[in-house]
Order: sequence, then C-alpha cells, then structure tokens
Amino acid sequence: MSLSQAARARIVNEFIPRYPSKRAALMPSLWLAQEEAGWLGPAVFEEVGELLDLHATDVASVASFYVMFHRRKIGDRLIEVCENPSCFLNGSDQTYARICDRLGLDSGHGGHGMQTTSDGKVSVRATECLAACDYAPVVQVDLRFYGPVHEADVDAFLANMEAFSIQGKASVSMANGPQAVPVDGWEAHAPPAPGSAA
Amino acid sequence: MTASPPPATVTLTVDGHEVTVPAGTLAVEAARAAGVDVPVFCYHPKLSLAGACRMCMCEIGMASPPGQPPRPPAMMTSCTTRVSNGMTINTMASGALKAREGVIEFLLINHPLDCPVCDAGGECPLQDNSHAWGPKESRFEEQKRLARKGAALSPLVVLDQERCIVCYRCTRFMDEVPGEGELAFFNRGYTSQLRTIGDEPMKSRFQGNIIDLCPCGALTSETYRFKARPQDLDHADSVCGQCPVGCNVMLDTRSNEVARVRPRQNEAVNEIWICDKGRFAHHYTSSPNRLSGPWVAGDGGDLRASTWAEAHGNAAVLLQAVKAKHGGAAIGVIGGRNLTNEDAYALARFAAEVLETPNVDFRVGAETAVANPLAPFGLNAFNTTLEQAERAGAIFLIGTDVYEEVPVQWLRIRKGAKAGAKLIVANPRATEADRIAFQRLRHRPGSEVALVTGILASLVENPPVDSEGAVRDLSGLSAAIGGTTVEVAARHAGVSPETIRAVAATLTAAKNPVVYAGARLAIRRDAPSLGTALGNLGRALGHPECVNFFVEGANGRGAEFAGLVPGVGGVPAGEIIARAASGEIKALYLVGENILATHPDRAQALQALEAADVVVVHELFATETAAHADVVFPAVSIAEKDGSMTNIEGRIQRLYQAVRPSQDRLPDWRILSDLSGEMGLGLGYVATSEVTRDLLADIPAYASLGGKLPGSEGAITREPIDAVHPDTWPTVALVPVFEPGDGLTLVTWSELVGNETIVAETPELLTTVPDAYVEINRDDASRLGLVDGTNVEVQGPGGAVERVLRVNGRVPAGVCFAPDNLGSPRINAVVRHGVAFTVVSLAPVQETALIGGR
Amino acid sequence: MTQTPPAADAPIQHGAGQPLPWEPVLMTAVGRKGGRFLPDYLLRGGYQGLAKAVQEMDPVSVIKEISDSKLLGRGGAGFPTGVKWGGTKRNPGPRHLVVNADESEPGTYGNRYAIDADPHGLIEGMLVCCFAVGIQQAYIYIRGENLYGAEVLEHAIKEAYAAGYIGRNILGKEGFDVDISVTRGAGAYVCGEETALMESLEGRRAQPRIRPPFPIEVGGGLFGRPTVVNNVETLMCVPHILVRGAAWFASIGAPACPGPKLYTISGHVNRPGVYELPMGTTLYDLIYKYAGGMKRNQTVKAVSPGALACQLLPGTDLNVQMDTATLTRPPHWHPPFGPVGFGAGGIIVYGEETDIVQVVARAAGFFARESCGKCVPCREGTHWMQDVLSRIAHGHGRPRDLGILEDVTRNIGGRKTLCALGDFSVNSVASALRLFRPEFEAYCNGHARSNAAGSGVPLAAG
Repeated sequence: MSLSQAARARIVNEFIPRYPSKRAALMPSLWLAQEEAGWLGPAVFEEVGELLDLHATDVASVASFYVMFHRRKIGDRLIEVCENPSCFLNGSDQTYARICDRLGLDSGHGGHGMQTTSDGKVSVRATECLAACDYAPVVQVDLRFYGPVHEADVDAFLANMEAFSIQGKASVSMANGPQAVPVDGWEAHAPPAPGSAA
Repeated sequence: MTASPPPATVTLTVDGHEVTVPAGTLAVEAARAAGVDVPVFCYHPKLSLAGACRMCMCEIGMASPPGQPPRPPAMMTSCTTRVSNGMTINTMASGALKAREGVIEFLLINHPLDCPVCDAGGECPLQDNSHAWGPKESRFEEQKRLARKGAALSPLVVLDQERCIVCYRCTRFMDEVPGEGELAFFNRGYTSQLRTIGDEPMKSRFQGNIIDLCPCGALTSETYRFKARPQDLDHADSVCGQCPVGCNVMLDTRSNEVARVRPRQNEAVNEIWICDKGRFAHHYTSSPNRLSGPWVAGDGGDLRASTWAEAHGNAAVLLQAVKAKHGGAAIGVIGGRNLTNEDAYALARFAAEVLETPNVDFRVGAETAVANPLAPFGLNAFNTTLEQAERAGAIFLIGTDVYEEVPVQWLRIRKGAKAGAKLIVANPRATEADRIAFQRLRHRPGSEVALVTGILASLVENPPVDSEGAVRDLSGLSAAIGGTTVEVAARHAGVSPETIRAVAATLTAAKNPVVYAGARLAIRRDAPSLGTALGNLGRALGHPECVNFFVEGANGRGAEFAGLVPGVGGVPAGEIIARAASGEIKALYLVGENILATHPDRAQALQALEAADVVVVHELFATETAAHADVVFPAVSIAEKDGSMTNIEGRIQRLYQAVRPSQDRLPDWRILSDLSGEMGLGLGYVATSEVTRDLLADIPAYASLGGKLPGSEGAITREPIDAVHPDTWPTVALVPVFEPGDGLTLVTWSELVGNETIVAETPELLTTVPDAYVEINRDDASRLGLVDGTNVEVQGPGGAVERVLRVNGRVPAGVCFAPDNLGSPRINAVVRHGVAFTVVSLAPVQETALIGGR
Repeated sequence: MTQTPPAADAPIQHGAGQPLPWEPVLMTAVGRKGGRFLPDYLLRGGYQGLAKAVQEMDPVSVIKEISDSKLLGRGGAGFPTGVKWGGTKRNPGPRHLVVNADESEPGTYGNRYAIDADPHGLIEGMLVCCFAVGIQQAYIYIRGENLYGAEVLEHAIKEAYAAGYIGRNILGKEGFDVDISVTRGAGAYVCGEETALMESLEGRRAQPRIRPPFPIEVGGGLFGRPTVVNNVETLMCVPHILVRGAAWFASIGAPACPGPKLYTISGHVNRPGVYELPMGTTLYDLIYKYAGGMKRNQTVKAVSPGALACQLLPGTDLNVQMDTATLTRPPHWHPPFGPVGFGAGGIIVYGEETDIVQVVARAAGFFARESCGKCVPCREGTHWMQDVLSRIAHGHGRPRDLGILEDVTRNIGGRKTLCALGDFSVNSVASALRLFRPEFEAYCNGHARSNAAGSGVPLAAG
C-alpha cells in the first residue's frame, strides 16, 4: 500500500502551499491517504513523512491521536452509532445492539472498540455526538449521517440507508422555515411557569 | 502605548521570603532562588514548557494596580507562570497541598509500585515526591492499567510503560534537542503509549539522555539494569574519552568497576547531555580481554608474557640500538590523541629528549607536517568557544559530519540554528545537519579550497560593510586569490556560482559567524591552503577569530599543545609509516594506535610493521597491530586515570580516577618514565601530579593557568602564536579539478560508533553498529547495475573489500562513501597512502561470499 | 474529499399563522431554494456588511462597531469579540484567523446547521474580521465527522473566490488579500479547545498549549503568530452588525450578552432542533413554547444547559434565562467548580424517566475517551471516574464510592487542569452528586432504580 502519484502531487501542490509550515499539511494528507486505501499503514506514514519532512513515528503518533484515522484495515463500510446522552435518551443503545445483532456481531462487546463482520464487509462501533441530536438516534455510515434510526428501524435502515439520510436536511425544528414558532396551544400542555418569569 | 523597557529584575515573595530574580523567571525557578523546592515532574529547565503534570501547583497572587482592590490569589502551575513585581507565591497553601496530593494519587493509581525491582528506586523523583506529598493510603479499587513491561525501545533503552507517568520529557527531548522525532506517544488520554513506529529500534545517538530525564523508572538502561542501587555506587568526576568535545561525565562505580556513565553539567561544554557512545561504551574498562602485564617477542617473534623489568629492558635495548645505529630520526612516534595531557606531555618529552626524534605525530594519517593551518594568521586551530555556536548569526560547516564527529556540539549547533543562526553545510555527502540547513553545498570531494576561494571571490565582488558603514577594502584579497572568479571556483568545486554567492551573502550578513572545518581537512596535504583560505575568509568577514578546525581524538588538542606534532625536519604520521614501510624509519613507537585499522593504507601499515626492526606498543587490548610488536606495554584506561585533558576548543579539564588499576597495568606517562630511566635519561615521574606540574609550567598554551589545573568548569587555553601575515593577505592557489573518470571518488570519515575494540566490549552498543557499507548515488547504481542491499566488492588501488551497498540520494553521482571504522578489514585496505584521490570501482559479489561486514 | 456541490434544499413552506415575535437573523437561508449558494446569499443582502466595512469604514471603526455591539463569543467562553480582535491587531503580523467549527460538544449542533444553511454568512464574517484585524490567511477547522459541512464550505469558498470576495484586492480594495481554506479534524473533542485546535491545524496531536502566551499574542497563536480564534456563530453575527448597526444588535435580548442565539435543544422534548431566539430566552419558553414540551408529558428532571460540559440545572430552575451572563454568575455558581455554564447553548433536557446515574456514567465515559492525556488530573482522573461510575451503573457500587468520587471531582475540577476539559469532565458528575445523591446512594446500596444493572439499558429509552 502506498500513495498514488496523484495523491503525492496533491499533497505537494495543494496542501503544503496552503500553510506556512509543511507539517500543517499533515491532517489533509492523512485524510487523502485514508481515502485511497481505506486505512493508514506504515508505508503511508513513511511516505507522508518524507513529503513533509517528518519522521514516520511522528506521523503515526499524530494519526493515532484521532479516532477517525484507522491504523488497521477496517470493513468496507463503517457504521457508527452515537451513544451520547441525547441519542441514549432516545434509545441508541438498542439501535446499536440491533445493528450488531443483524450483522452477526456481539452486541455486548460494547462501545468504542471496533468490530468487523467475518466477511470484512462492515465494521461497527459506537461513536461520540455527531451534532445532529434532533434526529437522535443518529447513525454515521462512512462519514454520512442518518437518523433517526430507532431499534425498530434497523432492518429498514440496513436495507435502504438513503431513506434515513439527514445530510443537507434542515433541523427538525425548521421544517417550516427559519422562524422559531411557538407550538400551537403550547400553554395548554405546559405546566405553569415557575416563579414570575412566565 | 508607550512601552518602557521592562525592569531587568522583579522582586516577589515566596512563602514569606522576599527574593529578587531576573524578569521573565518562572515561578518555580524563583522559588528555588528563594530556597524553596517546588516538586515537579514534567518541568525541566532544558526543555520546552509542558504544564502537563500539574504537580507544581502553587497559590499565586498578583499585585493589583495601584488604587485597585487586591486580587484574590489563584492556583497556578509555577512551572508555566512568569514572575512579576509584587507577586506572592505560597507553595504550601492548603489548596496547593491538596492539588499535589491529588496529582500523586492520580499518578500512582496506575503505577505498578514495583520500586523494589526498579532501577530508579532510590533516585526516583516519583518515589521521592510520593513520600513527600502523596496520600498515605490508596483509595483506588479498580483494575490498574496493564501495559508493556521491559520492552526494548532499542538495544540500549528499555521501556516499562506501566511505570510511565506521561510527562513528555523524553519526547520533548527527542523533538527539541537532537530533533529526531523517532519517539512519540501513540493514542491519547488514558491509553497514551510511548512507542516508535512498528516498534522499530530507536537509532538516535543521543537516546541515553532520556534515561536521565525520565522521572519515574519507565526508561532504564539496558546495560545498567539490575546492576546496582544508587546507594551502592561510588562516583568520580571525569571527562569523556570518546571524542574531542570533552563532555563532563560522572563515572559511577561498583566493586571497582564502572557501572554506568552519566553526564555532568557543564554549561560551557555539554550542558547536561552526552552521546550514547560516551554513555554506553565503558565496559571495555573492566573487560577481561584487557591486556594484563607486558608482553615481549620471543625468539620466533611470537609474543609471550613478561615482567615489567624484562619489557622495559628489551624496549630500552632495542630502541637504543636503532638510535645508536641510525640516529633518533629513524624512530617514528605515533599516538597520544586519546591520552591525557600528562601522557601526551610525557610522550612528547620522551620523543624529544630520550629518543631524540622529530618524527612525532598524534594525527594518524596526517599528510602535512603543519599542525595548525591557521598559524600564519596568528590564530589557534580553534578560536571560538563551543558555546559561541549558540549565539552565532551563521554557522558554516565545511567537510564535517558534526553528528558523527562532535556529537554533543551538534546539539549546540542545532540550538543555535533554532535560535536563528543560518546553518550552511558544505559536504560531499548529505549529513544530519542538512535537515535544518539554511544553505547546502554538495561540493566535489577534495575541492574545499576552491569552494572557500569562491566565497572569497564573491566577497571581493560584494565587499562587506563595516559597522561604521565603511565598505571593507578587499583589494589585497583580490590579489591573493589571483583574480579567481566565482565562476571558476564554482566549476572547480562543482557547485553553482549562485549558491556560492548566496552563501557569501549569508556570511556577510551574519552578526557572529562561526566556521567549523572537519578534522580530516586539517591533516590533508592541502590543509595549509585551506587554512589560508579560511583565515582570509575570517578576516574578510571582519571576524578573524571565527574560523576553527576540528581535531581527532579525545585529547587531540591537548596532544597538539603538548607538542606531539612533527618537530623541525620531522614528517607527519602518514609519512612516518610510509618511511617505515620503505625501511627509512627503523623503529615505530605506537601509543594507543592500531595503525592497521587507522592508517589510510592498510597494506602499507602492514609492510611498515613487518619491515621495522623495532615496534613498541602501548595498548589496552591485544590489537592486530600489537601482534607485530616486539614489546607491548599494558596501559590503563581513562577510568583509571587522574590528570587532565584539553578539548577541541582548548578547554583544559580535570579528570579523577574512578577505578583503581591493577598492578599489571600502568599509565602511559609512567611506562614512558620508567622506560626512560631504563634508557639512562630518566623523566623521573612517579606521581601524576608531578607530570601535571611540569606540563603546566612547560606548555605555552597553559601559561595562563598559573601552574594550577582549573576547577570544575575547566578553562579555555590558547597557544600564543605570532602572525606571519598580520597585515597582508596570504595567497591561495587552486588545485586542479580532479575527474574520477569511470570510477567513483572514495570519501571516508568515521561514524561515531564503529566496530572498534572498545565498542565491541559493549555488545548492546555493538548491535547498533550497521553492517559495513558503501554508499552510492541512484544514478551510479543503475549505471553500474548494482542493487541496494546487495554485497559488492570495492576495488581500489590498495586492494579490495566487500561491503553492503546502500543506494540513496545522500551522495552525488561519482562519489562513493564508506565509513572508515566499520568492517574487517576496514576500508583503508583499498586505499593507497599518498594518492590524493582514491578512485574505486564496485562489482557485485555472490551473497554467500561475504567476508566483510562487522 | 469529493467536490460535488451539495444538493439544494427542498422548498419548505413557511409559517402557520402564528404571530411572529422575532425575526430570525442568522438562519434566513433555511427553506429557500439554493439558500446556501452565492446567488441567493446576494439576494438576501449578502456581502453588504463586508462592502460597508471596506468601502465606508476603516479597520479601527469596524472593531469599534463590533465592540459596541457587545457581541460575546458564542463558543462557550463568552469573550468579547471586539476585544479579541483589537488585542490581536495590536500584536505584530502576520496574523491568522481560525474558525472553530469543531463543534463536538454532545448536544450542541447549531454550527452544523448554520454552515449547511449559510456558508457565505460565515465567510463574510471571516472577511470582515480579516479586514479589521489585518489578516491574510484564514483557516476553517471543521470536525472530521462533518464531511458534508466541509464540502458545503469548500464549494462556497470556490464561489467566493470566483466572485472576487476571497483572493487579491477584495472588492477593489488595494492590498486587501485573504486566502481561506478548510482543514478537517479527525475525531477529537478536545479540538474544540482553541489551542488544541491550533495544534491539530499545525499537524500535531491535539494537545492544548500552556497559556500565556495567549492565541492573540506572538508565540501563542497559529504558527506562533497572533491569531483570532472565533466560533462559527460569532462570525455569522458580524455582517449583520455592520449592516444594521451595533445599537440594533445590542438591543436584542439579554443586555449583558445581546444578539440572536442558535439554541439547540434535544433529549426528552417533543420537537428537538435549532431555535434562533434572542439571547436570554428562558428555559421554560425553550422547552414548552418552542420545543413542544416534554415527551410523554414528563416533568423536567434536569437540564444540561450547555450540553455535557456544564453542570446540571435542576428541573425546578426553568425560569432561568439561557445566556452566558446569567449562567456564569451567582446563584449559578457552585464552588469549587465555578459556574453552571452556558457553553454554546446546546440544551439537553432530561425527563423524570431519566436514570441520571446512567447519564452521568455515560458523560464520564465520554470525557475519559476524549481526554487528550496531556495533563495528569484529566488523563487519570476522568478514567477513574468512568471506572467507578460504570461500576456503580452496573450495580456494583459500594457506599464509599460516592465520597471517593466527590473527592476525585475536586482533584480534577476547579482549574487544576491544563485546559477546560478537566473542569468540564467533572461538571455533570459533581452536579449530579449534589442534586441527585439519593439515586447514587440507591445504586451503591444495591437498590438501583432501573433495570439498568448490567445492561446499561435505561428506562428512558424510546
């Protein structure tokens, strides 16, 4: 595994000139390398290091800091289920468990360690907040967001993810435009406002 | 905003004590100045600030502006807070104590607490601070973090990840001081792990320093592991005997053997660093392979053990006979560059007064009798201090790989470059210094005179302007270079005229330029020309004392000052051996020099040893040279010596005996003194102090010392020299361009750690020595059909050796680089002495036929 | 990263006949066809703030206008933007602008929608900053997960270069040159901390730097140069301030920290989402008036007012005004940990069904995983808290655990760590222990209130 000529050219001609220091081209370079191979191996660290005047150890150390850079081969697709409170309150644990179950993975495995199906097609792990909490529970597949994916939706989701895509969609609250509009008849359903602030 | 200059000092209060410190001082240092030791882990005065361990939390109050209510004090890390006037630092505030206790608890919850089996036990900041500041019991009931134990970061350094407190001292050192980013933390947070990529062994020659820096026993020395407890060690202040920098070291001994070597702080020399050769290559001092008792040649020529009396008697008779029959000049004396000043002085006296020969030289392989190429300018061979590199505006390295030649000075050069010095590197081969070089010159091997002449020509074109604004008059220089243009010089040197002009401009613009020329350039046939060129350069730049030649050997400078150089009518070391080979010189007196390995013509050295009527050798080990001797005297190692050494910059430094020598070995000065007595012209020394006394009185360079060795900092000494050309510009002549034709020009110098006898006694260090190799350019490799990593036969005028081929971009086309201290036989087996440029050819050999290598 | 332009929004119908108390300022592009592209931005009055700055004002007066507007940074620290710009400008160049688009705080998602909807609003704000402070190189650092947002921005940057809003001699102003590029993070919450973000942008492990020197100073900023680090939302306010005036801006909402605010609300509310409202809107209004009240009509048990990094507010505190000033001063101040905090306005609402122990255990896990590991209390302490809380949440708590936990929060919190992440990590834990101690005690006495023991499955699911 190594960088393509096109990738090398892009690093040299596009990324390096973007910053006053060569090293700063590291993040985009690693992204580019990962896009090509799906993961980052020792050869890539050597090659990127050579282009940016960094020791391969230095490059690998930086890459290892960030959970989205994979230093081992992962499945063809990566499914990540948010497990932070907003999704958790809306049942993300059950979503995660159902996805694991359907893919024949251990749902009790738990959390942020990655599991990959035996055919190498899909990897699954829990992830942190994806900043789409209005669509909780949110699932990320290969850097695209989907939601809400409740436990009961998992089969449909695995069959047709695009139906769940929230990429480019407006917020739940802005379905009717940018205006924050009071909910019809909200006073009737709300408890009395505390103190005098109401 | 009208900015008034900040006051030079500030006054503050630390735990009630008022203290005045320079502005910008860190609170932790201000506290130290007030006699209060704030505990730290990550903080280290030689490293960048990390603020990582949070151990040094203090309650710090800032003075409020006049008329404003006092600001409440706040908890701050004293290692990242700079002091200000009126500041109050309370190191023992209850909040600070609570924070510190918290930090210790956090550090210990995942620490294995295996102090009883940890090397750091007894000298461990984590242990000490835990006792002083930590909680009395543990509340942690969870699973401790499990990690790698006893993992080799290299053959020399062992990592126990479980002990690691992630203070980043080691990684900061590697990144900031030698600049080799080969060690780093991987992952993050709780799972942070110290690693190299693919767990490849670290290659740095400075990695031992991370053992000293580690505050918790995570990093230990492979060679010292489980060998001793600190309380069992004795200590002696010494000076490293491995290279001319003269790093200050402490020899820690146990049971009269050196257990480990640690750096000793001397800000003027090594700060607090040493290289790995200095640190690890000490096992030879206690090796069972050391010579024990003298040897003399028997009737058949084979060596046999003898008594001291017999050895002295034999040597005296043999040398007397040569002297009587052929005169003193028929005796050649080589050696002294790795000995003490006392040994060198005794040897110089022995040669001059007892043997009465002018053929004396410490500079093995020297082709010129001129020991100081800058003498015509009234300069020493080295004129700056090592420390000056830190404050230089430009540093010009010519013909030296400083990483290998003067390793710890390389750290200083890096520091200078980081502080803004423009680093100019001229070398036929890429070196570590290239990585941070401002300008690089890849000149043709041997063309240094032309290169410097080119710079001079460029200065003539664009004369520097003096500080008074006057343009410097360089018309005399113009004549001195005989009208050589930048273009002509550039063609000789094989570099572009533009590069030469750019380098000249950098040097012209630099406030305090420093020029370092490699030691090998100082002994080459054209060294006087190069000295003239560089002397002129210093003058033209307005900094006549900025030029320096390195020297080889731990005490090369001391040997030079002691007069171990060719006397009137004497010939240099290279020529001594040539004459011995031709039968002109009849006796060789070799002190600590294995000329078969180091004389740049192995065949000639062998011939010399065989042809000479008498060979007397002082040695630590039974070298292959010693096998040819008539008498072998067993000498003592540096660990067993008292006395002094003079480093590359002329700094004389004291060393103290760490190991008591056995009766079967004697210091070189003592061997010489006893032998001189046997020869009826006794030097009469029985104590080191007597030699020291005499050398301080006798050697002109030491006249300034007032008859006493200096204290722990050492003292810079200079030879008083009258300039031959105080006002005129001496003439520089270009040598013709050398074209190697179809062959490759051989370039050699020594790697810091080779497979030398003393390195071989530390197997862990020896395993870091690469297989003997030669290095050529990719173009030459494809032209010659040679493949990287395969074995090749290197054929030269002196013979052939086999080597592993390295193909890379470090050497230009037409050049073949080979380290001269790797392999057996050494690369000197292909070289002929007296041939200015060695041309070699390479041919592939079968994999199985390798007989070279380590 | 692919360069395909994002698809235009589907047209969405406006309004439902309600009286509109408040005109949105920042989110006007939502619901417009092609709202995120340059032509629509220009139709909406885009780049007029920049034009005004360049053609009618000078850098000093721009900074004064921003200062007069009392715009406080929207990222969480609430630092006055005008002061930051002025401070940076006082230090010698070259200088940089860095946009912190690393929005990773669980429960906070306003920036993501703002970038999706109106990337040119951000770019215009950046250009005004560059003009005012004298900056030629600006960088947007966006979290790696938000690839879509990065693509939206890259497309908008291309549009702006082509139209001459970015590049050389912008709007014909001689010497007003700015380059803008996008750098993607790769999964590290700590990059929201400005110095960690700069480390990451420089190609290093995202570990915070010591301060001083501060980012606005030489030696403290990006590549060691004086640097403005601003949040996305902060910069998006800027063009509007220039067009409509500082006085207009200062008149909106809470007087101490005025302006429009993108509140994001999630958790047990019926209509989670982004609500643009005046700063200082009450929690009660946000939950009941706008977010449709509580799921299954639960009462509010607690609220994370600024997402996980802040202390919990009790469900009885609904009349609190949600703004930086209110939530950082008494009575919303709890020594030794300090303010409850407003963060970036990401509100998580917990209904009575919520097992707070489970939530807090999860929060502790988050910070333990996201701790960069540079400083000791955060690296070791967050993990210790996670271990203990996870054990408690799995039904293996011991009575002494709570005392230990409280003391550990005190050994991490209260400004003992290198950056604020350490303080953030204890906020949920310490406040939950203060507010809901009996629930923890129940767990530690073998009486977990939910079926959570062992499985981690909360009652609150669904």
